Parts: sequence; C-alpha cells; structure tokens
Amino acid sequence: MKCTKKYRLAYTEQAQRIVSSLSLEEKVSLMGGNVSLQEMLADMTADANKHYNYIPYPAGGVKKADVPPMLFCDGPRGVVCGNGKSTCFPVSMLRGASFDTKLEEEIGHAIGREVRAFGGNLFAGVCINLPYNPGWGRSQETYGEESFHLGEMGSSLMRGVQEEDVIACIKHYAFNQMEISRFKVSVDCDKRTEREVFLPHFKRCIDEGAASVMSSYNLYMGTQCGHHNYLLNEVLKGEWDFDGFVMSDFIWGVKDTVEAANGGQDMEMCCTQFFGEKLVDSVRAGKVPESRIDDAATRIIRTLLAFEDSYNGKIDESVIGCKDHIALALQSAREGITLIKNENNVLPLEKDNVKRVVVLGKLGEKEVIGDHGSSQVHPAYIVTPVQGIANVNPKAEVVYYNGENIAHAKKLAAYADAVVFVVGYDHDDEGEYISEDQNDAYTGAIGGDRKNSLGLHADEITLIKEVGPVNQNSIAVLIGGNMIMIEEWKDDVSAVLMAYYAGMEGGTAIAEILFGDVNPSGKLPFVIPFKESDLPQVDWDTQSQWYDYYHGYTKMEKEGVKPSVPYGFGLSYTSFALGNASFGTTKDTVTASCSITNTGGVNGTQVLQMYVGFKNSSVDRPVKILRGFERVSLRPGESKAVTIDCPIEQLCWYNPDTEKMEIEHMEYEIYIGTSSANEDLLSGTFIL
Amino acid sequence: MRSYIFEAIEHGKKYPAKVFVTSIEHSSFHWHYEYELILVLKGTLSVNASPKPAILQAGDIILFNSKAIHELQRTQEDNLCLFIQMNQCLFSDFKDMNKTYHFYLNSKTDDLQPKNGYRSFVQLAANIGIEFQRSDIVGYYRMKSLLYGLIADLFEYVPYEIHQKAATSKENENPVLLMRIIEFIQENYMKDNMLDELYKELGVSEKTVYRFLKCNVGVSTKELITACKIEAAKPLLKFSDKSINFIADKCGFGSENTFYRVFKKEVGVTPNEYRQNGTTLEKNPDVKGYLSFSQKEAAELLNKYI
Repeated sequence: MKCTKKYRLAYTEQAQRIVSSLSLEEKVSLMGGNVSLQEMLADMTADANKHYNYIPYPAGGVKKADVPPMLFCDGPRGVVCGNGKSTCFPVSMLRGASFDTKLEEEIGHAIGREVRAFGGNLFAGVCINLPYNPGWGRSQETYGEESFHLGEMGSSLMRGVQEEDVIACIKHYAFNQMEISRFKVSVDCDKRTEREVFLPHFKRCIDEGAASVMSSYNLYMGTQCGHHNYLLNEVLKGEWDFDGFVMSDFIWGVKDTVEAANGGQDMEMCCTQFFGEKLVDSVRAGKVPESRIDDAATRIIRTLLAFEDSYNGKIDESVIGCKDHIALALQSAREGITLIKNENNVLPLEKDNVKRVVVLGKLGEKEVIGDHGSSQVHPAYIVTPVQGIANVNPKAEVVYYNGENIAHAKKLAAYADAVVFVVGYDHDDEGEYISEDQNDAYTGAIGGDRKNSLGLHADEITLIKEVGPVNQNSIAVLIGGNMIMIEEWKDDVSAVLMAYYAGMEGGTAIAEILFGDVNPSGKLPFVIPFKESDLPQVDWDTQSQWYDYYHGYTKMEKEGVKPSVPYGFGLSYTSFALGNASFGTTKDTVTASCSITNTGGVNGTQVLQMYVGFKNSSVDRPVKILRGFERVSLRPGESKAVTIDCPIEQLCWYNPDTEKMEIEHMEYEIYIGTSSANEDLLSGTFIL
Repeated sequence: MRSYIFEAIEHGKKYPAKVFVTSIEHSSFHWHYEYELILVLKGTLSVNASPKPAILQAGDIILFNSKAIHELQRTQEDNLCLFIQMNQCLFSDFKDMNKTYHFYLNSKTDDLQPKNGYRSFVQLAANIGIEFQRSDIVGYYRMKSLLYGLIADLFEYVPYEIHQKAATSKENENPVLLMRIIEFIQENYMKDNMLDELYKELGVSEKTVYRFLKCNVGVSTKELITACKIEAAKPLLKFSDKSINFIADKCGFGSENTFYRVFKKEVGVTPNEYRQNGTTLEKNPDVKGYLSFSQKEAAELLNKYI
C-alpha cells in the first residue's frame, strides 16, 4: 500500500502550509459536505433513474489552494454510484463466511478501481460493526459476530481499496448495531466489553492504516458518537494515534456545532447544517478553538493530498462492472455460501438424474441482493436462483411456483426430481430503516431490525413443513443477512444451504453448488442457537440498551448452552482428516499447526480455525475465542501442513484497574480444527 | 401419435390480440403461441385440455396458455363464446426472454382459484368483447387499457408457474427462428425437397430443426409437415370437386396410397368418406369450426356479464 500512514504523514508540512494560507471560512468549508438536503432528496425522488449517491458526494475542496474535494462513494456491497453499471458483490456477511482475506483484498481492489472510475476518491463501505444480536437489520453490511474475524476481513477490504489510491472509511464508529433506534439509542456497557468486544476490530483497521472513520448515529454512554470526545479524541486520535479524518454519518450524525467540533468531529456529512457558518461563528465566539479547526483541516488536506498525488489518473469507466470484477463477485459467492445440512448426501444433485427441478418460495425468482438503503448497489443484471438453476443445468426442466397453494406445491414437488425452497428475507424484512418521523428521506423499503422473529415467515415455514417431506431431494436455500432460525423446519428438508445475499451472480453460485460444479467451503460467521433466547436480548425500539460482555457463541459456550449449528461450521462435498497437531509460542506469537488431508473424492477447500481458551484466567473470560484462520484447498488424497499464528497481543484483556490491555501469564488452551465445536477441534496448551 | 395442429392466428394491426365471438362446432386438437381466454356466453362447451376435460357453462371462463394443446367441441346445446387471443409477447419479462408463464385460470376447477375470484375476469373479458367492436380512437385506447389490465390481473391474482430456460441453452426458444421454421413448412410443405430448402434457407441443420420443434412445440418435423398436408387437403375435399389423385399430389402426399393411409390414420376416415360426410368444416381454414351467429345476440350477452 503506497498511501500508508507513514506516507500520509509526509504530507503534514505541506498540509499545514496550506492551512495557514486559508481563511477561517475556507478552513471550515473543508469540514462539511457540499450537497444540500434538497439535492440529495432530488437524487432519491425526482428522477427514477437516479438514487442516493448516484454520483460521488463532495465535501470541502478549495480551488485556489489546490485542495481537492473529498468525493464520497458508499458501499459495502460494491460502489453505490451509477445505474446499471457497478459490480454488485455479495454482502459482507457472505464474504465473512468465506474467511478469505486474500479474496476480500481483491474485492477491495475492484471496488477501489470502480470508485475512481466513478470519479470518487473515498469508499465508505468498510463496515465492521459487531452484531450484538443477529436481528440487527444491517448485519448484512458487516462480516460476522466475532471481533477478531471482523478486524481481519475489514482490514483486508481496506487494504485493497487503499492500494488503489482510494481512501477507505471505516464505519460506524461505534456501537452501531441497532437500526430502528439508531438515532436515539444510547448504548452502555462496561469498560471490558468496550475494549475487548466492540473496539478491537476498529483498532485493528486503524493499525493497518485506514485513513478515514465514520462516526455512528447512536449515543454511547449518553453522548452522541459524532460528538464523542472520549471515542474520537481520546481513543481514536489519542491512544490509537489515528492520522486521518473523521466524518459524521449522514444528516443526523451531527446535532450540535460546538459539541461535535470539540468532540473531535472533522467533517459533517453530507449536508452542512451545524458546521459551515455556525462553526465559523462558534470559533469567533470562542466556543471552539481555532486550533481544533486547524487540526481538522490539516487531517483532511493531508489525507486528500496523499491519495490524490498517489493516484495516476489512469482508471476509466471501462472497469465498472467489467468481466474481471463480475468474476470476482461470482468467486466470492462460491466461497461464502455455506452448507449447513446435507442428509444422505442429497447434495450435490446429479445433472443427469435431475431432469425436473421445482423451485418454490417467493424469493426463487426475485432479484434479491440485500437492503434498499444506502448500501444498495445497482448492477447491470442480477441472476435469480431459478435462472441460475436453469443456466447451470440447461437440460433440466425448471419450474418455479411461489408456493402459495400448498396442494399445488405438493403436486409439483411429487413429480420433481428435486425441490428447492428459496426462503428468507428481502429489503422489506431487514435493512436500513427510516422511521416515519424522518420519512422525508424514506427509501421505499420498510427494512429495520428483525424485531419479531429471527425465523422464516410463517407461510415459508408451512410451505417447507408441508411440501418438504413430499420429495426426498428437498433443499432449503436461505436468503438473509445474518442468522436465520432453522429448528422449526430443519427436519422437513434433506439439505440446508445458507446463501446470504449472494450478489449479482448469486443465482449462478447457488446453482453451481446445488449441482456440484462448485464444492461449498463457506463457514458460518455466526452461531445458530436452538432458541432465540439463548442469545442476548435486545429491545429494538428503545432509548437505552445495555450490552453484556458475552454474545453469540461466547455467551452460549460460557453458559454451557449447546448450539444448533456452531460458529465456524460448514459442510463440504468431500471429507477431511486432521492430524499431527502441535502448538507453541514465539516471542510475539502463538502458533497452531496440523496436517490436513482430503479423504474424499473431489477437490475441496477447508477453513481451518484456531481458538484460544482461558480456563485458567483469574478473571471472567470466554471459554475460547477465534484467533486465527486459514483457507486450505486440497485435491483428493492430498495432504498439507498448515500453520496459523496470532500476535500475542490479541490475547489481551482490559484491566479496568490499570486501564490497560494486559496479557495474563498462565496456561492457555489452544485448538485447531474445522469449527468452534470441540468435536471438530484438536487441542493442546501453551504457557505465557 | 396424433399430431396436433398449429393454428396461425393473425392479429389486427392495432393490438397484439384478436377478439371475436363465435359458436363452436368442433375445433380439433390444436395449439398456438397465443394465450387464449374463452368466456362462454351461452350454452355449454366441451373442453379437452390438461389437466382434465371439462364442460364449461355460460359464465365460465378458461385460459389456455401459450402452446397448450386443446380441443373444443359443441355439446348437445348450441353455444356462443367470446375468444380473446393474446400474443405471447404481451406476457414476456422484459428482462429475461427465457421465461414463459403458465397460468391457472379455469372456473371449472376448485383447487387453484384467482385471489380476487372469477367474476372480475368475466367482467373484464366481456368489456373487452364490447370495446373491440368500436373502431374509433376511444375504442383503440380503451381496448389497450383493458387488455393490459387483464394481463396485470392475471399476474397479480392468478396462480402461475414460471418455466425457466437457460440463457445459453441451444434448445432455448428463439421465437423468431421458430416462427420462420413453422411458416416455411406451412408455405412449402407440398414441395418434394422442402426440407433441404428449409435447412439451406434458414442456415440450420436437420437436427436443430427437429430438436427445436420437439422442444418448443412437442411435434417432430415430420409430424408438423403431415399436419400441414392434411389441413390443406380437408377444404379441397370438402369444397372442390378435384380428384383424390389431384389433391394427393397438390398437397404433397406423393401418391394416392400414401394420402389414403396417412389421412385415415390422422383423421380416422378415408379421404372419400371425409368428402361424403365428415365433420363440418368452415371455408375459412384459419378459424376452424366456428359457426355463424347473431351479432346482436352476442352484444346482448356480453352486456349481461359486465
């Protein structure tokens, strides 16, 4: 990465020189978006061919001093700009399930190139919020429930984007994992939860060189995150020594001029409402020190100069939605889609024997790529599941029916060689939410959190329970941005495939996996419980929410509650044998090694995972947490030795007495294997 | 195997649909690309079609999907029916031409009913029947709106399946090519070297034509040619005094013997027997078995259903 922190800091003097040549008004003008609310709403409502962020949204820029504007492009599913052009990748949750950091970095490159081709210079699609409860409606924008994994995936995307000389913006800082209440909820938690669970992935991305951060809408400990002196000034810019700039989330991310500016907010997006003239006045009135303005202006100018200087200006529109990028989107879907159940090896279906496929469920012929809020990408086409199935097995007769009439669905299923239920969610069920009192920016979708149920719709459950048993080759394909409960109906189908929102080529990848052209290798980046109440409970419509130290698989394991499907679990069409486990430490790292052999009949990829346990801790710590992973591809009969290591500092806990991250000196448990379930892991110990 | 007759429906220039009221004597097994909606206005009509034969009564409505094979027959009593034949282009997904839609609209079945009931479809059909008589500009646009309204209602309220073909499939239906093949055969069936000309003219192989017809229409090339020959022979037998030998030759049967054998097999009677009594046959070969009726009565009946 050319635009490293070191490289950027080399522009400090030049930036300071420019700042000292600017008037107060000019400096403040850098700190706010140049889009009026009317212009943004016009994009969303006036012209049917346009939409939110149709063009990159500018902020600042001072021509006479050659300071370019920041040009904002949203994500993370791809670049939101344009219509019928961008590459629509699978949502981050699917990409998280691939556990493929190299592929994520490549996706970052592709996105970075498309941002530049649209004329942008910043990509605000590195979303690394940790869903405290999987019902969070925008979980699809992040990678999973595990902080370490979030840090790995987020920093990979960030690196790819920034290597294309595009500023990556990490969001939403911090504690943003409730959608309906996002404008009003104050999240509270104890210091250990903050430092060990909700902030480490942000720190990881900053350490890796992220050049921009978006503050979240919600409050933390009663203070608006966009004004948050502790989060922005003390932690981010102080402790973590962040050199880039902070921007607010859009329109409602800043609510007070003085509090925001002094709290460390550098840029009000995407409309200037509380900064601009009001900020100039506040400086003149002595309420905001001019040094704070100089600091913000220096950060903004320094970052923009570094990235713009580095960019050679050679990317043109031909890269947008190009063949290579679409191939990458397809590859991502192939790697992330996760096989959860495969009774009697009903999958893969054999093309020669499956002559008639019946696809049931409303989502079977829908172009579902995720929510219709700020992350909606507008590609040239979307392959639906039913189209994918027909394309991948062109000899088969492929019949789709929505499944409303159960008797008719049964009749179709009885005559089919395989039945595929495509069930789950679309943008009305989960996603970005604009409450009615703020409905001037209403996106047309209902979205929000899954506040009533984490399961399928009642009609889908009925359909599966009634029609699934009619045909032995019945498969449920789940569409959704996070965990979907399966208990009620899982015994009524032979196979379950979690497809998330699989992007513009999602239908192709689903079909390739169903028919065995692709061997699935995705792993669940979340746990599936037997009961929703096994997870931390959240009041989705509230002004205050407490977050406990435990959530997801760590909570269930701590409480001794067995999951229905463990974190990190995913099946393959081949089998693997692990052996020769060895564990150790070096000065800075802890290491787990093992051999892995493909003992089945087809090529396959396994995601090996390393967990570290804290049974001997003198404080309350998780039973074990993920601290490394590696994808390994093997031909039938092939063996490889795999080593996973992790910096020892990743094993720290936050000591509230010393206010420091500390290493415990004790014996740790260490595991390597194919999921978080103990039966899938080889174990050992090490001492620090 | 009985060959099914392809019925070429010519649409008016104005709309991609054809609307008429007629009495049905017998319309033997046939299929067409058009979706065909029939509203029985008077009497009863016997329908042989998938999934099971039915007798429709006055006020009943049925939709035959594109390419669905069906037979219509008079019962003991006279009938009068409204036909709305809609071009399949009206039913296409503008984004994906590899989809075909298969609706379930038949007021004689109980299992798959439209969400809004049958009555609104009866009313809409009757309205279309009435507006179609008009020739002014109001009628033109009214017809269009009613027609599109009908199609929207089908998608919104009627259970349907999507038959999805692969985007790259060779068997994939290419309506233009398919129509050219069928038209070429219909126009040239009587020629000896017709097939060679067809392959040359359209630049397609024998195998492709066969697979194409079989996959999209369900008949072989030979079966389609035979059907064309027989349909051409029927009016000549009925309405001309040409010799059997002449007709056999004119319609491309090659010899009188072949003509006898094939005709007997397909129609069930010999050409001579057909000439003597046979089934009733209209002079207009496009609309087989449609009887004359009073326009006034038709208008009155249509008004009853709106």
